[in-house]
Amino acid sequence: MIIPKIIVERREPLPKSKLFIYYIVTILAGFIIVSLTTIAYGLNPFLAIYLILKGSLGSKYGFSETIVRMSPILLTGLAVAISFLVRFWNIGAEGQLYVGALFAAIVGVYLSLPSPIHIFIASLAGLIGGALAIFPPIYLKQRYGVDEVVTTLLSNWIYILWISAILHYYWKNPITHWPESPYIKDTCILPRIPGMGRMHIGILIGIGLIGVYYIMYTRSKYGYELKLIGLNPKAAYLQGMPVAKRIFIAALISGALAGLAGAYEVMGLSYTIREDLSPGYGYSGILVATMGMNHPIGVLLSAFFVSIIEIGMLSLQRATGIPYPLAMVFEGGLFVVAALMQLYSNYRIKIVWRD
Amino acid sequence: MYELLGVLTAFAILTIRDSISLVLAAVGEAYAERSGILNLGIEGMILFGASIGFIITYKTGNPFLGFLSAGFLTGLLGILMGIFVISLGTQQHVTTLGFTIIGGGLSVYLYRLSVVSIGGVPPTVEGFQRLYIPYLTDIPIIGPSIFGQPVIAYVIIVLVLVLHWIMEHTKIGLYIKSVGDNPKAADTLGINVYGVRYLSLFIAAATAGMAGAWLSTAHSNMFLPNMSMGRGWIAIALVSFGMWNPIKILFGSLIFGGLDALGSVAQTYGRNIPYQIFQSVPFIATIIILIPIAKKARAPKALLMPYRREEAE
Repeated sequence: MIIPKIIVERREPLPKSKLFIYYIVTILAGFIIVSLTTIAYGLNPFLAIYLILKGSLGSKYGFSETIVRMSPILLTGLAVAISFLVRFWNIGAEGQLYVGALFAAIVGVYLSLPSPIHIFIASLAGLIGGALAIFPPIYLKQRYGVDEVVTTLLSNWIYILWISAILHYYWKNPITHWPESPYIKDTCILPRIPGMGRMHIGILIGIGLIGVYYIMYTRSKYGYELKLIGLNPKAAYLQGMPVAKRIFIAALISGALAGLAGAYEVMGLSYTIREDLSPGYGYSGILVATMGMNHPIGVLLSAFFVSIIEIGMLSLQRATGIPYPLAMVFEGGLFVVAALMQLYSNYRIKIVWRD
Repeated sequence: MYELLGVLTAFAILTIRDSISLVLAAVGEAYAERSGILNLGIEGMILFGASIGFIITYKTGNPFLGFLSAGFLTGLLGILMGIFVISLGTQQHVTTLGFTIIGGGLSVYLYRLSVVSIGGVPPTVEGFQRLYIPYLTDIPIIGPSIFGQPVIAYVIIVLVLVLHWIMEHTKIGLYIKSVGDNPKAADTLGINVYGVRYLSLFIAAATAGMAGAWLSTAHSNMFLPNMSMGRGWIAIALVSFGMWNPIKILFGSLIFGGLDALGSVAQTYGRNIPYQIFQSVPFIATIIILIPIAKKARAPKALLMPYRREEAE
């Protein structure tokens, strides 16, 4: 019997120029492989890809919706990237997003301020909410050694259940009687980008933050320290870096950014906080960060890519009736592709057929 | 007095019922982690198993067949995941989280393909029969809760004990632990590191699938999307709580099943308190209980680390 044997060999990390090409090629390959799931529905995968791209990029409406989707997952992707960079496995961006959204909504509903200041304070509230939400897992990790994967995962459920309780019992919208908060004041609404549908300036702020991360990542001593802590915490410690402190700050920023993503969903799109505010942006952030290998440009590109897929899948569903659960399988497959890509940047994969 | 007795009995029945799915999934997870694989796919695997278990039972009318198929097919899903995390050595958090989403999606997709729901009402199956052990069932409180469970509950308890015995008292268990602690040394001793990890992941996935089938054919008798309600994540926490030891995990599951049941019982009394608060209690308690244990718990040394023979120092 012929058995395939998979050999995985370490190689020199790819040079930057080549890395970009590998990145694109792997994305496309992954795209094609994963879209094979549509065959299960009796759909030509190439037609599916065409429809996905047409739906997400083929019209002004589609493009603006893609960017609208990109704003939160760019932020959650950035959030997860910073924590993954120092190997603090924050799987809790979803819950942090909701807490940030709640804080921003409170500021949006109850404060009366002139517009730019109101927006600024609400953004700050979102950041603080997200940071507070991630604080217990960081503290428990550093003080007691409790695994952050478990605590951040479980905290998603806790926060979302609490917010659901608040919206159902204490903060129902008095006008609509739905489990959603009252609407935020007009002064707290993020301005839209003229002529671009629902697209709001959240995306510009997100890109700006990517710029900040880029400078930190490539140019600063701080970025160097974070990278070294992620690669080799022992070496970082021996070099005299305050490892625990750096991880603490990086993880706190991670939570804050996830909170900001929630704040901007409230301030830019829904103008209220609902239980279904996020269809899993926190988890998409994990996908975005991994696919982007925690690198600022990688995060930017993969946030765009994942938005194309998610919006494209929605329009594919409308066009062909392909059911939503299959789209989930597709998205889950992307996680696997992202992990493969990360592997591929440092390893060569060979398949040997032998007896 | 009679009312109190009724409440206590209801509490005990619910505790056992909630614990059973948890313990099975968590003991499987312990197998995966002991061999060096963190399986965050468990939540999706429970859902996948719940769907398969329900579909097969619905089609054949035989819940045992549903239970076994759920275990076997979910086990195969675990093997598929193994190709990535074991053979290729991709990053475990992301890959296995992807399988949670895949499992969740597949569960609903397969269910809709095979089961017709009339008027939006989810159909039910005749799940496992209750087995009342004569005389023992008459003992107050623990009688109906322990000796009046669906037949499969007893099978699951035996399975958990067998899995404990394999892990702690057989060569296979020793292999699994050595592969998870020091794969290089295990390899030198002639243990097939990859084979043992695949076996562990198969067991982990199969038990998660069977835990799911328990939910859809014994705990309730219908399938609902996302019906696992985060049990997979609690199972992962239970593994650390039980320090990777199946019997300790069994006790842990009883505690958490109890908290869950306490929530359900308290809900009927505290109507002014949002039900979500009760639902969040097991999650909070899980975190709190992990605190004193974390320092003592010693995770398998090679957890999260792919084994590559060529580069093992």
